[in-house]
Amino acid sequence: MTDRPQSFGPPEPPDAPPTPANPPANDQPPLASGDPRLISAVDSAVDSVVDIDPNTPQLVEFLRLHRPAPPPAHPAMEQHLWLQIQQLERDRRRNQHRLWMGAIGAITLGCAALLTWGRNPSNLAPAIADADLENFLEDTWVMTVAPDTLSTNTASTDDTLPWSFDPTTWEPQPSRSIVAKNWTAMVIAPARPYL
Amino acid sequence: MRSRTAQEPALAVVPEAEPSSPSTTSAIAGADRAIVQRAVKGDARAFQLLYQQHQGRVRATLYSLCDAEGLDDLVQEVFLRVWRGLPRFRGSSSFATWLYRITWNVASDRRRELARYRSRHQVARVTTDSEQADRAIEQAIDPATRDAAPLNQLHYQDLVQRSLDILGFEARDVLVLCDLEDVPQKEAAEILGIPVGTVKSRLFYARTQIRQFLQQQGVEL
Repeated sequence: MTDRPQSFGPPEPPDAPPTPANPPANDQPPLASGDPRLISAVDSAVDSVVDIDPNTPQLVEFLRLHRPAPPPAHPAMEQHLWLQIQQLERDRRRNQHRLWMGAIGAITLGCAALLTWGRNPSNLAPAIADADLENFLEDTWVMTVAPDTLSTNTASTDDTLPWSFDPTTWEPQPSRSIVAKNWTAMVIAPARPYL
Repeated sequence: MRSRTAQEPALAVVPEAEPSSPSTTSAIAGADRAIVQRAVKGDARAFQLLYQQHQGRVRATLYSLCDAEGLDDLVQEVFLRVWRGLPRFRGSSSFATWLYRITWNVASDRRRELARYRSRHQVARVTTDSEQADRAIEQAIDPATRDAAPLNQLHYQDLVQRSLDILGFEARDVLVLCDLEDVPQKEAAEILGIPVGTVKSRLFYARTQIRQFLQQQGVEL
């Protein structure tokens, strides 16, 4: 309960110098909502209204004096509270223990699984079945060798590559290789001249 | 990791803090802070000290905010929440403010629970004058209170209790904290999570209501 004489005192004379309680009227811009000064002014006004009643101290005193006393606590209440706290701590420790054991178990299992999986090389290589690979080769192996050389010679020489890059000038060469020296030559080899 | 042991301590009962002067208040606040710091670190004996220092105030506040039914359970719930929350208590507000906030939360939960129960069972809480009179008589014939207080004191206590009952929860919370518990309005605003201006207006409204009720009952203030 604080006194605020500046709010409820007698009006100041018109020629009184500006004071915090009596600021010059035209120099102050209007206060926007949310302005701390406005909030402070509203608080102060509410405060004044709350505190203005001269009977408030008597009322508060009466309420405190005749405040109903709570019934006394059960004699074993503190003991019971302590037991509950002990139970709470036991549960907390048990939960923490379970949490730690679960975390450690999960980490161990994860590491073991990772190690087991990593040791098997087939897991790291692309999984292509032999049959699939054979089918792929059969499908893509399109006339990569000259038809009349298939049965004659299987020797390989390095100086003949690429034998099929220019189909217009190609001539059957019995001594040439039947095996393509690289994959590119096999793939881009034109089929029409051999048909 | 903080280790908290809940072994039953054996300490002398510390009387409740009753601040009488600013120096006493600051000394008590300092001692309180030290005990709180020990309790935050998991010292069970410090926690018991806190319980013994504050349980009376918590009990009285809960009694004013709710009623006598299940009061022991509510007090226990408050201190269980305090025990659980102490490791997270950072001390940004005072321990008393934090404790009042927990108390108010427990009281609010209790009211919500009761309101749900009443709406489910469609039981209206109508307190008639005869019930109030019965309660006053019960208190009067109760040996624990009969010797301690004269009849007019019991009558006034009954009036105050009834005047609190006529208030809405919001006004009652503010009145109990500010006027009965003598909590500063700023702290009450912090406890209730509302602006200080709202605390003031609710307080004004609550006082007006109570004064009118008391005047109707023949008490002139």
